[in-house]
Amino acid sequence: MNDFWNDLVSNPAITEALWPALGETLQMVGLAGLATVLFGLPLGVVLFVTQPGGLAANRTVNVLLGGVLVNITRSIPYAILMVSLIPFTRWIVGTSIGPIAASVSLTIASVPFFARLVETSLREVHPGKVDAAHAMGSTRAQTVTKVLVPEALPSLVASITTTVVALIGYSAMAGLIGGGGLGRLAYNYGYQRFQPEVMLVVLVILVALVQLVQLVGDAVVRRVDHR
Amino acid sequence: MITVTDLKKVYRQPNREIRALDGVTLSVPADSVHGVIGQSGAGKSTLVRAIALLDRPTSGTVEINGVDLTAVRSAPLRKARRRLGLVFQQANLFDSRTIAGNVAYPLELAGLGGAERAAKAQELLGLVGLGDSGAAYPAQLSGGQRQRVGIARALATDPDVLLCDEPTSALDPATTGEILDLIAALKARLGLAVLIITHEMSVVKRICDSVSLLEAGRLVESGPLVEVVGRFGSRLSELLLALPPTPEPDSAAGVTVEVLDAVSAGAVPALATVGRQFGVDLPVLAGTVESLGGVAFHRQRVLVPSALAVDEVLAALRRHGAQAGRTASGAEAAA
Ligand SMILES: Nc1ncnc2c1ncn2[C@@H]1O[C@H](COP(=O)(O)OP(=O)(O)O)[C@@H](O)[C@H]1O
Ligand SMILES: [Mg+2]
Repeated sequence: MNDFWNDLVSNPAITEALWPALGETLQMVGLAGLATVLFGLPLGVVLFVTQPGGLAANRTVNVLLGGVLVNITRSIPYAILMVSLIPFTRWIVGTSIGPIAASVSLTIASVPFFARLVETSLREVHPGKVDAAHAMGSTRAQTVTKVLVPEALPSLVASITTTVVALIGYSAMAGLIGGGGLGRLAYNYGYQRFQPEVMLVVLVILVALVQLVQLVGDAVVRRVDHR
Repeated sequence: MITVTDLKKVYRQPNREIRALDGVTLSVPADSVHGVIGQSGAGKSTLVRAIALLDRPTSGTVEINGVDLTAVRSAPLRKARRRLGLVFQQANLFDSRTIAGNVAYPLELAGLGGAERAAKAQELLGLVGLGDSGAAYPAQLSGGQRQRVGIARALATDPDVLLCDEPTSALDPATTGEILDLIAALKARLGLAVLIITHEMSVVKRICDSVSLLEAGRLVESGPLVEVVGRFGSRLSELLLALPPTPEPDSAAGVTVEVLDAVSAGAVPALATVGRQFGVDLPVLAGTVESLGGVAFHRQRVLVPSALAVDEVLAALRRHGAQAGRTASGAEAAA
């Protein structure tokens, strides 16, 4: 036990590489999370309003975005997606290495996932509220921004939490092909150099990170939920 | 004043057409309440959605103070909508907004400033008896209170017409009475034309000045409440003065007749007078008395014993101002 503890506090992988790795993971998750909400929320709204009988029903747009784009992206395993996106990433950020580059494939993988969650959240808003918004003379844009999204907010926040937790998992994988971060650290030291204490520390930090995200997410949901 | 003319709504389905509204025409003047009553599937929801332009009617017009809502679209329609307040069965409040925020929503759309909105919302909440609840959220209110908020919200843009879709169907009887009284008071105070769609007879009896019966997308009967109730044998009269079913008596015992008598205050019902005249107590199988518009309507199902001549009894009842007829052979209205 003592030996294990000594390994832990003297191992440079932990004393020196751990904090930068955590920083890289947070950067990947933070960037990708932000971009996912930025692109995924509008996409989810469009999926919802263009569905048959929706606020702006449009079969073509709905099938193209939902049936084709979202479903195809979601059916590609992340490991394959991130590798095949390397040329695209290089074109966008100029490099395929580092946490910023990794955020590109992370975002592309999680936008369709989040958009579907958004669509489901909006579907849970009672249609009578949309009727009420219309009867009072709201435009379609006002119905979305002033009624649908605020009414779905608790569920949207919960969806963001779920997405960020999923991103933490994917970011470990992204680390392997140049993203860096905790995943890379665990792989290099824990797996390749067989230092189980590094593996353990990374595991504990990841678990704590997920718990923290879930805790904060749940607290925000309670705050915005007046139902 | 709201005028609905020849409103039709046809739902086209792959193999058939459903005529949910088949030419509805009605008109409600200011400061009055009109009820449209109909069984499930009659087309009530379709009618509300068509009048409120939530679904475009297939044809026909909806005019508020002479302005045809079906003729305008987009921005002019959104503006014209403010002349019509809509009250829903489930209130349909926004859970993310406070009570005051809900009432202020239509004012926000109308472009009022924050302070103005708050003042107007407070005034409206006072009007519906919820002056202290502005900061609460809908989830904290009872069903009746939520409906009050729904009414305040519908009145926010000072509409001329209040369209109520089953406003009390989700409420218990005591709360129903309170909400209906509130609607009646607001109608008088603001001079509203109120159109209430419902399946509850009690709603019609309590506040309607006039009433229509909706059946398979058509208004099959219509008129001032006192008039339709006094129309012997009419569907509305029988629905509003409902009698429980009674078993068909043995033909040897006698014949059943129905009597409808509008008895003014202090007068003696024709049935009592006629019974005395024939020297028998005519057995009442079922009966109801409903006071509507200052008139007590007596409707009874009576057994005329075989010892008496039915036609003479009926003639005597009519002579004393009642309407009467045999039940089996249907209602033969009389002067
Ligand atoms: N969207 C729709 N598509 C097809 N048929 C409909 C639709 N809405 C209503 N109907 C039909 O129209 C008729 C009237 O329905 P509705 O207005 O809901 O009646 P009510 O509210 O009086 O119960 C029913 O036969 C119903 O099946
Ligand atoms: Mg209905």
